[in-house]
Amino acid sequence: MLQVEGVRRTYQPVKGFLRAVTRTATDVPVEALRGIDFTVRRGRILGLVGPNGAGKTTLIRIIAGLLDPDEGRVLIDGHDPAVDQRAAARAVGLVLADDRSLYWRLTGRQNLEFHGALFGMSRAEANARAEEVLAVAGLEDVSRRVFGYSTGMRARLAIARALIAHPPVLVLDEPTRSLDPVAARDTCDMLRNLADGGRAVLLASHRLEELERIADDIAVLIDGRITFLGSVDELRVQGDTIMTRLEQLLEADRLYGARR
Amino acid sequence: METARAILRRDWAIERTYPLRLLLVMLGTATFAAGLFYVGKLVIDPPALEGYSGGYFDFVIVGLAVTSFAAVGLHSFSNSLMSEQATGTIDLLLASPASRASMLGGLFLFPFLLASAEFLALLVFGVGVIGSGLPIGGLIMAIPVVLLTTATFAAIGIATGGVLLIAKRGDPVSGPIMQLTMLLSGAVYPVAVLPAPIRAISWCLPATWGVHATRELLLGGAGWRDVLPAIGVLLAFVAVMVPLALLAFRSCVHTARRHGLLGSY
Repeated sequence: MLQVEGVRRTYQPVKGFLRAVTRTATDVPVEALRGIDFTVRRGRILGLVGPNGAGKTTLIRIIAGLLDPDEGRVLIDGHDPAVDQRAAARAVGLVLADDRSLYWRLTGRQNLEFHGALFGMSRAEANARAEEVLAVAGLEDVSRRVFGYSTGMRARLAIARALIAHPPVLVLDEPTRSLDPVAARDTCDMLRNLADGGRAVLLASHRLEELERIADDIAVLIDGRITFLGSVDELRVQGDTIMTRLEQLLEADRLYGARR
Repeated sequence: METARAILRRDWAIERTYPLRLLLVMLGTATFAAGLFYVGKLVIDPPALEGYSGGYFDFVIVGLAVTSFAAVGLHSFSNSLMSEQATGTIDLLLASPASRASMLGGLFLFPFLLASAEFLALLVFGVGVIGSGLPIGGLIMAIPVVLLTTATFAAIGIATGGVLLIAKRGDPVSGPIMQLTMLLSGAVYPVAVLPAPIRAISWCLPATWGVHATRELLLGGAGWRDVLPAIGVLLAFVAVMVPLALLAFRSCVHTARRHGLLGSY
């Protein structure tokens, strides 16, 4: 189960030594998350949707233990990554937005075996588990180096990698972003099967239509706040205003790129 | 340990996809040694090298071999972390449950083994083949000395790697430290030729002890009892520097997590 409780995060301007050595941080405070609460139970998919800059990636980085919240906490199968990052990390499979997160000079199988080792598996265990997750992800011919893969194969490999350590929670940041409609549909079907197998899945996406198809619940994140949290049916019935606003924002993103 | 071994296997697998680089590294080592051999012919029986078998060539090869290990200790962490940042793989590495210590050890292993191969090639080809000969016993006894010397530089490298997690690029420490090491450690000339005040500073550097003890073992006919004081000094450096470096690295990771700087590059 994945629980997010009262998570707030503001990117503060840095001062002193840090300001001298880094120019990547903001010059003005940016409130990225303004109190986020939700729970994803096993067997369910929560679709997280929102325009660029809404705070989706910040939230996922907090769940991944790569960023600390200012307030609130995240519990992954009962473990808070801000308190015990290693225990939390064992319980979550991550697919981050950056498709370069694979080692392109290695084969797909080598990527999986390496990731298995990071989770404490022996070489033989990682090898055997790689076979299983490759089958789940529908990947064949992974003896080639990753740089020869299609975008769809890389997306599937990233999901296979997330599954390597049997995590009860899956967190995916736009896994279908670069995929063609057929590959995106297949990937969504795979995620639905994984949730039906007993995993809690948090799926961030810009593709509202795919979330409507596979998610049990939808959270709409706009400007760091969840403006709607409920079932897909509830969203259809009650969320006209939210949907209209969201579609306007998503359309603006498509037309003009990132807002910030 | 599984993490460290896996990172080693990964780095070796990636390295094999660049076969020309390995070839050039080995070729570079051989041509460097050959060049030094001819430079050594210009330096005939200097009084400062009394007590060492062989000539200046043997002397300088051993000094440079030890400092090349020091360089690996200094640069491997920061280079590996910068490479992970640039390739976009650092997020999942840091988000994994692998311990930071085994991760750091793993990032160090491949560059260390590559440097070991270069070190051996340099010594065997340099001192053993075209120099005055290489005592196998001395070579074995030199291993702990070189390891301890490398560990002191690795401590600085770990701390620098932590700073680079925040600053991303621009390592303000390693370059000047290596330059100081080359200047003061006696790698290319004996410490005895330095002015007295600078000589005193020189003996405050771990590299000076490492270079001196390795030379004594390989070229000075010394036994392990003769280099015990040097080993003791190096152990003291390691005992202080490595824990401090790990603390500094942990603090940098915490700061990067706090400010959202992990993973960006």
